Amino acid sequence: MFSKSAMEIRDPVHGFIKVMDYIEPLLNLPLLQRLRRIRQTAMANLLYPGANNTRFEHSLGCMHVAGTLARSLELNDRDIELIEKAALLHDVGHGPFSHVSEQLLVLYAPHGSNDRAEEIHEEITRLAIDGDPKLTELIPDDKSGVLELLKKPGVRSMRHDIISGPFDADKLDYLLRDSHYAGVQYGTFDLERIVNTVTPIRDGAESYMGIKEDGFWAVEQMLLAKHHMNLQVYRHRVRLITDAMLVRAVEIAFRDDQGDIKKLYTFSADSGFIDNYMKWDDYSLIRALLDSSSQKTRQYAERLVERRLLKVVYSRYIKEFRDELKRNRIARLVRPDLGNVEQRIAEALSRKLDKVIDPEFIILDIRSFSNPTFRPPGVKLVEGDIIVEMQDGTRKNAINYPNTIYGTVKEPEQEMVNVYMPVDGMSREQRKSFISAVENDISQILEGV
Amino acid sequence: METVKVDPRDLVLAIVAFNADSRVVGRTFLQKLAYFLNEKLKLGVEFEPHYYGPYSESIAMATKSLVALDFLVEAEERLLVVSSDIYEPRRYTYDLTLAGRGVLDGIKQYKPALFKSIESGMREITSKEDCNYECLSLAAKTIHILKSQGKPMKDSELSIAAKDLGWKLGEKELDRAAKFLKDLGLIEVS
Repeated sequence: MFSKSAMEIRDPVHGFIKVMDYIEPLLNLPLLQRLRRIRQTAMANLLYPGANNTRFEHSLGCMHVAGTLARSLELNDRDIELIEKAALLHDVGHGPFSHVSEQLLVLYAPHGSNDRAEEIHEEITRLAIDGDPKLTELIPDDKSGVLELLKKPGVRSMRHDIISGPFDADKLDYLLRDSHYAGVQYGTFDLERIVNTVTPIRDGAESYMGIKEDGFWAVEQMLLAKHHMNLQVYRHRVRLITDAMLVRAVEIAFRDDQGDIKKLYTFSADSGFIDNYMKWDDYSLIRALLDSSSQKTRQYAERLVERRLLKVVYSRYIKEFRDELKRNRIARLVRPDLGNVEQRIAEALSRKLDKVIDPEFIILDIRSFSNPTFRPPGVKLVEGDIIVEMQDGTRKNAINYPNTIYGTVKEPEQEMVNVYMPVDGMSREQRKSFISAVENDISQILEGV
Repeated sequence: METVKVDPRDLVLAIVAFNADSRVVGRTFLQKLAYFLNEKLKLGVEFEPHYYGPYSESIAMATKSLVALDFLVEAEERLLVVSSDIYEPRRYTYDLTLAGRGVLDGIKQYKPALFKSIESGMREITSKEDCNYECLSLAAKTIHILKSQGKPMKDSELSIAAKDLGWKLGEKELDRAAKFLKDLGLIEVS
């Protein structure tokens, strides 16, 4: 039986999105509707007021792009259907504020379980799909096929490349979408050209979504867009601060308030955890933080709601510390030692300001930008696995094709240490002189760890 | 043997520092050395199947972090042959810096027994005649399958299981892997 388009949905990025009859019944499932309440870029709207787009519209966009790529690659109808379903459902495991929840799940993961953010998030997605009775009722025969597409493949395939590959439907949608809603132009590229020039490449048991030589520049444009979005949106300092504030608010609630927050972030593969997790979204988390019995958690939540953000008072690449042993110790700081350093910084800053600063409002943020835990949606430039089919039929890896960015842009592998604190009431000028006044003190404390 | 959880950064530093020239050539080789040390010493590092055999994201991340901290220098070499090597057209060499050496010496003082066992494991692995990235990849794939199946397997069964994971393990490859694994005391061949 032929599938047909059941409806069209107007989308600000892709125009009209055709929804096939096998997709339509899935749209109103609670596990998908929840994504309407999870913003794609967490609190980036405090920086770019328009950045209120949610994972729901991204899921629709991703489904649309995935289907378009699959048709362009001339996959069979059955594969197209599975790919569209998998693309639509690929984000259902995201928790409140997306990547903030990933960090917290890792922080509180029971000993011995997976300790990487991506793995826990992917596992939650699989468990949520697998355990949803309404979804099972709607796609009894396709569920295993969808789950297989959402797993890391043993054998690389075109089908997997569309869902999770170097230029997959996920990236092709979120770059355009996040750029559109943030109101920046960095994420734009020629999607139509990419769609029209993807080509199937087969090598033994493996297959790839390759790109024809004519379309390579559009892929390069996409990679550059990714790099720029990374610098300007995903890793903007305001994003990093809001994420760090959310994490701190939850950490305090987890310790002092226990209850709901503890239940939300103590990962386990049982259905009780998943059922509870799927009830949470951005709004309910903020509400829970505002209602927390912990005063400090409430204060953090109020600051976020009222946009009274902590500010960067210290920022340094760890490699700038000359002593290698100190460099090594700073890079490896974790709790409880990290809390002790925050305490010392708070004492030093209290002396400077002649007022008491609560150490829990000092955030020492040590970030490795090569670490996926702190890497908002796939920001690393992908190297080495985009295959270009030349006009004469030979194949080249993208990095051997003469191009602009592979030669000039390196993977951002940086270890940074930042200190955030409330500087309410300070003017920009006052803050500037405060920052230069405390720089040495903080450096000395860090060198003494 | 009880698992001793190691910081992947410590493990990578120790691997690169092991040879007299404090150098490891190739990301795959580094991964596979880490894999076999993990197998021998139960270091608690997670590995999962990947295109070139078992792969650890935490080892990859640790290596990048050490480069970012100037404890390792990563040099990149473009390979000229692009056909069967199409997926690895660059080769990376890792050298320990003086700073990296200083850090490693410092860490060793706190965990002497662990580093002694890593060095002894490295000595054992690298003393094998066929210790290169190709043989280590084949051996790692083979042991990964045997472990996941949890039972003795014939060559033909191994080949089929390998195919399911996208790996090619023919008779020649399995002979090579079996010799290496047997020498290392990780399997028995009957």
